Amino acid sequence: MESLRKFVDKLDDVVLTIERVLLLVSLSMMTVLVTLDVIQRTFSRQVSKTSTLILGLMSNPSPETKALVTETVGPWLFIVGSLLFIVMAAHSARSFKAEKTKAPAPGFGLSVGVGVGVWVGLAAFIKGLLWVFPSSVPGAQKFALGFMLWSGMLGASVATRERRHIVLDTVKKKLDEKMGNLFSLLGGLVVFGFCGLLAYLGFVQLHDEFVLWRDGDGVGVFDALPIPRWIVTLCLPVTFGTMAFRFLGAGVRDFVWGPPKGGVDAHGVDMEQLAKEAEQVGKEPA
Amino acid sequence: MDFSLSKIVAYLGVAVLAGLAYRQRKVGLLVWLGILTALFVFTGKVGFLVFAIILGSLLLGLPLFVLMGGIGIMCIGLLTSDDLPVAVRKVLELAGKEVLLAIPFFVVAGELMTQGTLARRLIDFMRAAFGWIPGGLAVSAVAGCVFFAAISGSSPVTVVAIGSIMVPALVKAKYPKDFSIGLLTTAGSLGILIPPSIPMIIYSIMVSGSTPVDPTELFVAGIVPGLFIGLMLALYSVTQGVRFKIPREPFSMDRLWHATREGFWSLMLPVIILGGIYTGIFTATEASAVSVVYALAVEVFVHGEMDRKKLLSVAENSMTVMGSLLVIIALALTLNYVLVDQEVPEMMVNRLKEMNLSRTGFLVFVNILLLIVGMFMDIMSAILIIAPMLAPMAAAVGVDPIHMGIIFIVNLEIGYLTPPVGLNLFVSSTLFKESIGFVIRAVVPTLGIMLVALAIISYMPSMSTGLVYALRNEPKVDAPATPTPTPTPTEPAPAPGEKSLQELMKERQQQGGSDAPPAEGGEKSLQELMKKAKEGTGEGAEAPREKSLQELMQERKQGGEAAPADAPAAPVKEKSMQELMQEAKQKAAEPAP
Repeated sequence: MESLRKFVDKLDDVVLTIERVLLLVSLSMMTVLVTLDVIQRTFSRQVSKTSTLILGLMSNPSPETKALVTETVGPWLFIVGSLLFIVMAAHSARSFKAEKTKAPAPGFGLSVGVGVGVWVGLAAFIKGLLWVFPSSVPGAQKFALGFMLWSGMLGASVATRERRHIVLDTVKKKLDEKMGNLFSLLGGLVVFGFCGLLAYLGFVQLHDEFVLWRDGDGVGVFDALPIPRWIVTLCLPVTFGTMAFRFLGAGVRDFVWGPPKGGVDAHGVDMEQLAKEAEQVGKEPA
Repeated sequence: MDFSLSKIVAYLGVAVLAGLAYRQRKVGLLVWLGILTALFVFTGKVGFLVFAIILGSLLLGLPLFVLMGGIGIMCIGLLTSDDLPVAVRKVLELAGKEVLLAIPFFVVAGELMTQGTLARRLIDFMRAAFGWIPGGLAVSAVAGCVFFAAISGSSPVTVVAIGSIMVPALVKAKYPKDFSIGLLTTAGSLGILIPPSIPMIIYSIMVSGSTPVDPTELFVAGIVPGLFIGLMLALYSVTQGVRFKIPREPFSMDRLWHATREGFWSLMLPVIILGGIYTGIFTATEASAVSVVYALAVEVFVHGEMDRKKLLSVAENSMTVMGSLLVIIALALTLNYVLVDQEVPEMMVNRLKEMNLSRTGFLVFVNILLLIVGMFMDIMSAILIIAPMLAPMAAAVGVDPIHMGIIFIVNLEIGYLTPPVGLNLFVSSTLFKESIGFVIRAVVPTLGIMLVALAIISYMPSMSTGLVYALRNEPKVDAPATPTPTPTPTEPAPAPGEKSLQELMKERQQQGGSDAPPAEGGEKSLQELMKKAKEGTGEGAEAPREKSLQELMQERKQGGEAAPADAPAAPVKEKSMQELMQEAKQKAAEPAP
């Protein structure tokens, strides 16, 4: 029994490693896509947001004033403001670093140089982005949402392993240990069945979409790029399947060896983790 | 009485579970069996099975998503003509809700700031700014919570991040322990009222079918009530500072300057987020993405506090939180779909109309109901289950949907402080190593303040909506809004030979929504129709993008100015089932020419 548990634990560790990699990729892609989309949309506007804001502060501006604000004042204000902001950030970063290493305070001239360098780099990046994607970042939101579903479902699977799902445990907490363990087994079996059903339904949906994509000519793909839509659906049978086995494993484990410390009180928030974080915050030097 | 087999099996199953759980406590067992038998006698098959799933889940300690999904799937099987895969299609529909992208981003930003040094820098600044007034240290704790709330979007995280530093400091400064813990436990709950707020985003998603609310406007609406509660808690702190004769910290300009310099970049985050939302520069989703990039840049490059290991931990922790939320939201949408399909919100609105409640009467009823709900339900569960039913009822008696959203959030914020399911109470109890009874007693005075604040916020709609309407340039007074007709519009009878909306919807659902394969008999699927449309417009040509709610709001704010003809084309967006339903319903509600 013990050797079986060790084997299952090792297997679960391998699954977790794969999940972590996928999760990181999904989260990074999601962040990058949305950020690029926001940058593209912001900087490809006919009238910049700074100009819109200035015009909003004026009451009934004349067409000449509007033109002046949108063509000159707004863009220049943004350029000067952003440059100032980045120079200040660069100086702060250098000052903080100097304080940490107990080095003498950095000179402002070099900070200006660093800030201007960063600003030019960012401006070149934005120009490049607008050159590559003049009208929009194709399918950014759609793909980001697909990655969100993948990362969210993978997160749900990891949450199962770490017992961080919100559970209705008010009654169960009051049971004696033996009965509590039996109820954990029963609960594990019920959730195994439920997640298994969802994994099966997800597989049915995946199969339909896959057949549609395979047999259709250019059907069942994203509009922006010919990436099949079933790749998004794939996350459902995979993650619900993993969750099913994890819930079953947790139920059996609780029944045989009792619940792990801190697991019973899991209530959507990992109390031990919170307490640990709190201690870390408190320990940081003032 | 209904004696169907499934009902009898469910009765016996729950009875056995209750028997096992309460075998040594006869009274407890009798109560459970009594409830079960009463439900068996007085409810039909579906009603009893719903209650049996709830009771069974409570006894077995099942995850919330299983309860919601279980009821949803059971109702789909028994009450609707849909096939079961509609449940997973509802999960997939999440990949069409742009506003949902804001949740993982705000979670990541909060996690970045929690694992970084934001809390310490924030508190240093608040102490330097407010430490000199009577009760100054307690005031700076409240101000720290208000500011941190404007970054994290989560109440327990606010309690942990600020409370872990400020409670020991308050006790050391000779504030009573119960006052210190009570104050921080309560002030931490502001995390969900002051934007950005994850529950507000979920609220706007859940009520989008009946009374659409823009999450950006909900964010704006939460500012004044949040600051108001913060101010009330600060005034309470001042009185306690005077009462306990706590010595003040001397004011020092040097110290304030140093703290401002140290904490400047952390203090700028809420300014950027809230300023961006206020001025209409960002939508909620854009602000969330900006907050992640900003927090990452500040912690990695400016503060130099984030290494690779911490970043990995941030990613995993935030996605675990997001995952546990996402799966509940997804399965709650299935349940919500059944409720709408069975016209439950409409029935509840009609029942409310029969009660002839005035707007004030309704608000009293809602506040009492939500306070009770908040005592027994986690905030997310309450939003997912109760909000879709209460929102149309509120609209029917003329309560502004934005005001309703804020009332909902403030009530559930109080729910964080009320036993038996007050999450902040448990967090504080664990964090400060005090019994739950001690924490409950400690929050009683501040809970009173929260209740007074709730009453004021409920009966002064302009507190919530004033800023929103000011930003829309629309006049708005405290007078009740005109009661709107039942938000789920009644359909005009179809002309002979014409199909009704429901029939069309049913057909559409039987075809399996947008992603299903074509039905047998040669009827074309949505994909095929789209492909044909594409071929008609030229290969590779992109269909015009449908505007998001935020964009439409933005346009309306800008006076409905038409976009320039040479404006850049936006990316293609396929309509979701809900959007199609909404459009179809709107069309059906329009009077015939």
